[in-house]
Amino acid sequence: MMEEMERKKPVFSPDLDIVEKSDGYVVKGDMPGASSDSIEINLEGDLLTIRGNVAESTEELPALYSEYKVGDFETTLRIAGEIDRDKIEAELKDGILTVNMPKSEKAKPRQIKVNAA
Amino acid sequence: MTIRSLVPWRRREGEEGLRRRDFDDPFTGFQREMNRMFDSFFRDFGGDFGLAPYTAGESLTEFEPRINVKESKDKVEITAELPGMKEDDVELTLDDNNLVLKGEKKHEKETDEEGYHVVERSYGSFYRRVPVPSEIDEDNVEAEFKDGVLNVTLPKTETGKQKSIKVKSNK
Repeated sequence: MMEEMERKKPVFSPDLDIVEKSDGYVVKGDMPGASSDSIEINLEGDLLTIRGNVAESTEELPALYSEYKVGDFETTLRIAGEIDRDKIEAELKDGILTVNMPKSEKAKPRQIKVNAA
Repeated sequence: MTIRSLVPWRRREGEEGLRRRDFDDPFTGFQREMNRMFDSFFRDFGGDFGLAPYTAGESLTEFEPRINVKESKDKVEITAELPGMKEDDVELTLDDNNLVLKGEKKHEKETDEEGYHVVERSYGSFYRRVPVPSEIDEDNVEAEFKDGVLNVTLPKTETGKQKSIKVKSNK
């Protein structure tokens, strides 16, 4: 896996929200300008890595004032909960990435039925 | 449901759930921690996630879009990061050679939320005045939204184009 060693250093790290629901986790990240085909989401062990790229505009004018950078981005999360890895889904819309990670069956809260004696 | 879900947005170290890990730069990590401390301090004043605190001296807006300003010989280009937004969510006006961006970034709640483990994104209304560094042809300003980025192109007027001062060398 030689290509693993040649990643460029990321230029920024997107802001994330992580919400827990009863049946899963939802990660939302702001990455305006990112193209969906540049996004890579990897889950290795308990480490979730999201990488991607915001392309430079085709016509690059000299910058006068910059508050944000454009280029490769990366962010990592350690997942302590039990996730059903085969059911992870991600969607990018208008610069917001939403990653849905359902909890594995045994991690879901279970209702315990109380039988009348 | 444990008691911790009553304080959903506080980031909890060492507990079950998802945690961040910063990439290798200790300063980035430190700065991020400081930012989080300030963020969580101010958020605690709101009764509900997303309300602006009413403490004096706070900014009037809850979300601050980041902008870049670029300039060439014949135009000025202003781009703004407005993730999740489209044309109808922003009001753009030109006021005395300032570009004014006004709108609201909405917080879409998931159904059935139990709690937040990490909160780094901000939401709410925004208002920014960006001074335009040149005289521009107001009738031909164009703006376009793509993937959450607003791109405004402001062509310069003829006098605007000629304002550059040539620096002569003194040999």
